[in-house]
Formats: sequence, structure tokens, C-alpha cells
Amino acid sequence: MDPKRIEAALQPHYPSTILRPGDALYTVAVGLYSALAAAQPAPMRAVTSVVLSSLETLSQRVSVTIGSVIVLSPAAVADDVTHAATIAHEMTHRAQVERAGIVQAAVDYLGSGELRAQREADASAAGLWVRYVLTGDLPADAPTLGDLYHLDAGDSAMARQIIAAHLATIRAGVVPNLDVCVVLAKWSHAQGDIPADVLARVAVVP
Amino acid sequence: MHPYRATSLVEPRRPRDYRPLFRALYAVALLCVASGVTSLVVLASGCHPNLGPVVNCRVGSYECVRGAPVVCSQSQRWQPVGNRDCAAVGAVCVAPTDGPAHCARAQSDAAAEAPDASDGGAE
Repeated sequence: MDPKRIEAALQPHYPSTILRPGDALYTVAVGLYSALAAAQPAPMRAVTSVVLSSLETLSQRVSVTIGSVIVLSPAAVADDVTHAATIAHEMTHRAQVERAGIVQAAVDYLGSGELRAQREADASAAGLWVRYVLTGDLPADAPTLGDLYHLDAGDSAMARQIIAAHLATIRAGVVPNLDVCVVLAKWSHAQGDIPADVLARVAVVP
Repeated sequence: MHPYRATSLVEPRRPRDYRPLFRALYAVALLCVASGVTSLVVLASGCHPNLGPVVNCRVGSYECVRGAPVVCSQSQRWQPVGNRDCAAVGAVCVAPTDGPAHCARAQSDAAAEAPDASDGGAE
């Protein structure tokens, strides 16, 4: 399925600007973010390093959402399934911002490893669900988030538990209880051209 | 000879226009200052992470709270799995003893998990 259809399905609910490698504004955004990372005063880095350190490597493999701007990395658009899964992941962050408000969302994400772990685990689960819907593949065990998000062992373990719970929901034939997944499930059943095997993996939601 | 006749057809090189570069640098500087100020304002304004109450749960345990799965964090707070309750996806929350709490189809899976099924559970 064309990832841009997934994006189009989510846009009315979570209006966003998605920048991809090759877009005119992509280079500008990466340049601005890199400059921002370099220009942070030392005391601020402790607070913002979680986001900015990933922004510094943005051009390589990391996609980020800041407010309503989503910047996809080259790795994220390497193939259609990864592209679609990454859109679901980043749109989940967009939905989190929508729910909490941009200031509170930023404070939660930057100020608490526990909340950052929770937010990233939910977003990862949304991506895993989209990958499952498109391919039928679901990991046997919950993946770890890695050290990208600067989580300590306790928060990292909790993130893995949250992902494991979402995987159990998916295995039970239920759509994960995430806004983005609900929107995509409803949208999928409203289309007339989704392949039957794909649609069979999307439970009907009320 | 008329003075204009002596003019070369090749135009002299114009001085390079650095205005767009300066504008871009100005924009970057402005963004950096704005982000720094915003961060300081946020920190100074007393905004704090919305962590929820400490409930002294057992770290790593699962429960169903208000119809949605939660997991106990290392600070002994319930942290949600997802941002909707299970009813929003046409399911109920179940918390089996041998696996993670999750959303399950109301009739089949929840019945299978019956001894531990919970749709309202701990608060």
C-alpha cells in the first residue's frame, strides 16, 4: 500500500507537515536542526539532548516529530512498509502532542524518562501494528527501544512491557488502543480497494 | 570612437549577493534564541511532567484500570498502555497472570482469561 495513502488518511485528524529526503524543505529543516543542536548552551543540553542528539543524526536514520512537523529520515523511507510504519509511529507522537498540548508534551517528553518511555513504546507499537497489517509479520518478543532515547534500565524495561502488552492485543485479533490505530482501522474498512489479506488483519472497531 | 562602442560585450562580474545567506543565518540565530528562551520559560514556569500519582504498585506488574491496561513503573505509578480504553477498539481489558494485560475480544478471549479478567480493576 502506498504510504502516502496512510498519511492522507491521518492528515485530517492530525494535520502535519511531513518532510522527506528530497523535499525542498527537508535540507533546510535538517540544517536548522543541526544549527540548533550546535548552538544550545551547555546547561540546556542536559534538558534537550534527548531530542537534539537525535536531530544531529537526523540525516542518517532517525525520524522526528516536533509539534506538527515530521521529518522522515532516509532509512524511514527505504521501503513502503517501513515508510508506512514510520508514519504511524510519528503520527502517534503527533497525536500525543494533540492530547497534551505542545508545551506539556515537550515537558513530559524531555523532563521524564518514564513518560518518554511510555510515549515511545506506544509509538513503536503503532508502527509494529502497521507493519503487521501490511505484511502479517509480528515479532515474537517485544523489541527494546535501544539507547537512542536515553532511558535508564527501569524505564527501558517498562517500555518493553508496554510494547509486549500491545503485541498481546494484536495477537488477540484486536486493534491496539491507540488513536492512530483506531483512525487507520476505520479508514481501512471504509476503503473499497484494500487487499483482502491486509483487511483481514484489521479488526473492526466501533 | 564613441565611448559606448568601447564597452565590452562581456558584462563585468557583479558583486556576489550575500543577502539570502545573511537572512538564513539570521533565521537560524533567531530560532536558536527563541528555542533557548522558550526552554527557560518552560523550566521556570513550574511546568512539570504529568506523571500521575504514586500508587505503590509492584514494579513491572500489570493491571486493568478504567478498562485499559496499565503497567507499574519503577516509580510505582501506573503508566498506560495506549491512550484509549479497550472499549474504544471493541474489546475489554484482561490481565492474565501469565502474560501482559491487554485488550481482548469481549466474548472469546476474555472468557478464556476469565479468572483474571478485569474491566475496571485497580485504581
